[in-house]
Amino acid sequence: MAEFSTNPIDISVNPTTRAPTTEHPVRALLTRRGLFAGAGAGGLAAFLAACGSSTSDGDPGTAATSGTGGGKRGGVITLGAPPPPTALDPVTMYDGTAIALVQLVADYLIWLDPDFRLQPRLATAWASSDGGRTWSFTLRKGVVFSDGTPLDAATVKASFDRLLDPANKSSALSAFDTVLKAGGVSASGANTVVFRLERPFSDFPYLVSAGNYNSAVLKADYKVGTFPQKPIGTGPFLLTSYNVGTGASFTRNPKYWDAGKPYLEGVKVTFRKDAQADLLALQSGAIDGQILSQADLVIPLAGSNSIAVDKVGGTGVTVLTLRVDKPPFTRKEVRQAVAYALDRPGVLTSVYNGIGVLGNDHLIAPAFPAAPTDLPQRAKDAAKVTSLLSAAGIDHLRFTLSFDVPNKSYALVIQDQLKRVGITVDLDQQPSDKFYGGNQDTDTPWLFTTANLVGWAGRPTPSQFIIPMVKSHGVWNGSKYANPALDAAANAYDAATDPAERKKQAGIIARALNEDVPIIVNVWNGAARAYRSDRIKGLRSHPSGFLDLTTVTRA
Amino acid sequence: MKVTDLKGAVTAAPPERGGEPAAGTLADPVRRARGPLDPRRLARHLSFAVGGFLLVGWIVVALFWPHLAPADPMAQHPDLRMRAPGAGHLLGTDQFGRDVLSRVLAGARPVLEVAPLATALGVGVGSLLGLVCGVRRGLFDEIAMRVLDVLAVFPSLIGAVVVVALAGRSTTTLVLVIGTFFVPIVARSVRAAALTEREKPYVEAARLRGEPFWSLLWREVLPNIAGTVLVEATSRLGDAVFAASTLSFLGLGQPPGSPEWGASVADNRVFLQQGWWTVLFPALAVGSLVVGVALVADNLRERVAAR
Repeated sequence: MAEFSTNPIDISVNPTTRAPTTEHPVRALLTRRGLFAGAGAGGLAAFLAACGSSTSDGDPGTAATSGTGGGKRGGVITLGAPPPPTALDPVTMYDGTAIALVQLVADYLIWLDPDFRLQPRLATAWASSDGGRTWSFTLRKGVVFSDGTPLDAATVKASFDRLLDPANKSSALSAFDTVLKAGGVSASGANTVVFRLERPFSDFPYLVSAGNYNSAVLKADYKVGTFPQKPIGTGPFLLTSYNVGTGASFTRNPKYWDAGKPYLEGVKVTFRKDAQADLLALQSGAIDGQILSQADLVIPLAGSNSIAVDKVGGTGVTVLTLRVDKPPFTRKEVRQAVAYALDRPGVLTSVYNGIGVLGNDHLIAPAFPAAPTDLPQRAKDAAKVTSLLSAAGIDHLRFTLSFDVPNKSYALVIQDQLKRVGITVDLDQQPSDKFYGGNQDTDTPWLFTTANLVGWAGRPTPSQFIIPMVKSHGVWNGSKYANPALDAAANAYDAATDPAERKKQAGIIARALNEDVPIIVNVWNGAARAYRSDRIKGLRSHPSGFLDLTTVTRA
Repeated sequence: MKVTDLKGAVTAAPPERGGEPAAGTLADPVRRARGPLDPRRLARHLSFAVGGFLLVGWIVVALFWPHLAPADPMAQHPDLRMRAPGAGHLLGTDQFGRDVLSRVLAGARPVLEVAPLATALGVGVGSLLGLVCGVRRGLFDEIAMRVLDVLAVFPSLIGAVVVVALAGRSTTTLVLVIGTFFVPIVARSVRAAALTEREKPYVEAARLRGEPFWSLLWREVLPNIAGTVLVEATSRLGDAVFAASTLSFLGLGQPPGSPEWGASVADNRVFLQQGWWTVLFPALAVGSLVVGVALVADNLRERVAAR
């Protein structure tokens, strides 16, 4: 059965951690200065150029999605997905199905395309001032909600105020941590929204984009938990029916701001708990495509039965976290020994079907423009493992690795690899609700066990990993790592506008993590999405599992 | 001696009036009841032979798999992932490049650790309760049976899932859970048999001799219902195999990575289209063991019923 993460920290559902890609991301060629200067939307959208390229197996014609791709306007397509484990609510959702369904109905200030480029949606332009502490977003004119209510700055302010209210328990709070607090959003006239930040943050547009998926703009009077009953948004479709056990139906939104789109008249989504059943539905033609595909299942089928698989690079990662404040990992040498014991290409093959890029025990993914290029790739070195453990005074290293069900394969591979160098790993598999449950400040397993595996879905900026995961006292700092030098570099990175400076600070961060090893990053993975090329044109995968059907047509 | 009936069928001749009845016939219930079941006669039945072969075969595999398996069932080989059955790997390899044949052989042990122990627990406790209740009757019998009735109507699989989820998975937990759910079933069968026996003259005679209650149970009644207990044991053994594999399939049995059959089926079923062999062979192993035990149990049941 396919196992889709309900990890509350995931920026989307876990297909990014389970649907890797072989495409090595293309380095960003354009500077971040253009974004920071807040020039036209085109330049802004080029902020992260081609973080990951996309390929499509079995349907070469779909790699480009311009226009209708030669397809037919009108008609209804049927997509398959696992039933959402969380409520269908834009404010609180954190699973892939709920996010995708909401994205058909509600829109964002900025969309994040599969290559992590920012695409203007409800905002047409944005600019910063005050050294990067203040950001202004100009709203698109003429946008109305599906009930006819006009979109204005006050509505956008209300949407973000709702996210920033801790009482609403939105997952978006984590993304805004240390950057934006309640009261920081204001309306300047009818068409401009102003964000006053806690500190300079040059990647802020990403935090109000789909990359922070809860930031969909809703009506000012929206009440959390009422979305299935009052699904009012500015998105391309209208939700006409929803049953958490069976599926959902959508029709075209005639009031959608982008005239002429979407091309489809409607969308049906059917839920199947079992990934194999969903796959069989695709093969038999019961569904035209999948919202969340499991790469290791669908890639071998590409090209058969008119099945095409669109793959995209990304920044999803499953991190092996080691508690630096608890034995046996209090000594750096022990953590380094574990890192040198791992056969990363073996992990890539066994866990990710050979699709992905190797990690190097830091959080500046190769897809990010600032990724260091001068740090040697860590590789398995059994002799070094022995010497490091000997230096730490450990004859036989044994520890317990905690994880939830979606990371079972990863845990088994780690156990096998470490066994080969004499390290014993006891596996502690837990249900996801238990692993991510408990008190987040005192005992939740994913933050307080000695060693654990946590899947982090793709993020568009490295800061979204670094701030919560490894900065001192980060909200999701499971390793309890604290390094003032890294903290300073992370702050400098966020504030910097010059690419060279950002790369320099990223290098400091990467080297600190690589040396101290509070976390082990074996592989960065991407995502895949399978569909019937004889039924659909223009459907693309997304590193975060997002769904954009505005340009999709029937074949 | 042979006789031919009206339809021409050859049947065994009846014992001669006044003569010594043959051992094991209805004319000598006590001797027949206390005598061992004749395995040679049972083996004449093909199904028993097949069942016995499967059961004994898997027991041998469970005991000696390290000497039989061609490879380490836990060793991963990324370069050998999802190899179809062939010369190098007779039953193919799984998603981690592990040898499926070795895992199927190794998977017999966890099943045959849990199932017999759970069966022993369920049959032991259930038989004791049923025996006491059936012979003693009275208030103890009423209370015990009502308690067992409550336990019996509780959905056993759901109950097992809940208990294992709460207590954590371990062989001990599995044995206790599965065995406990067998107790009411066994107790009711044994009680019914004991109720029949307690009315018989030999029990009454023992009572009149002043034989103590426990002696009455062990020395008089139990030997005469041994067949029922044996049938219950074999029937429950098959159920225990299936229950253990089911719990493992649901992720509540063996630890991650275990070659246990139910766990293997669960781990590999998402790869059914890419590697059918990773699911088929563990599933066949479960099926063959359950069928083997069932065939043996059926033959024993027929024998006991015939008596």
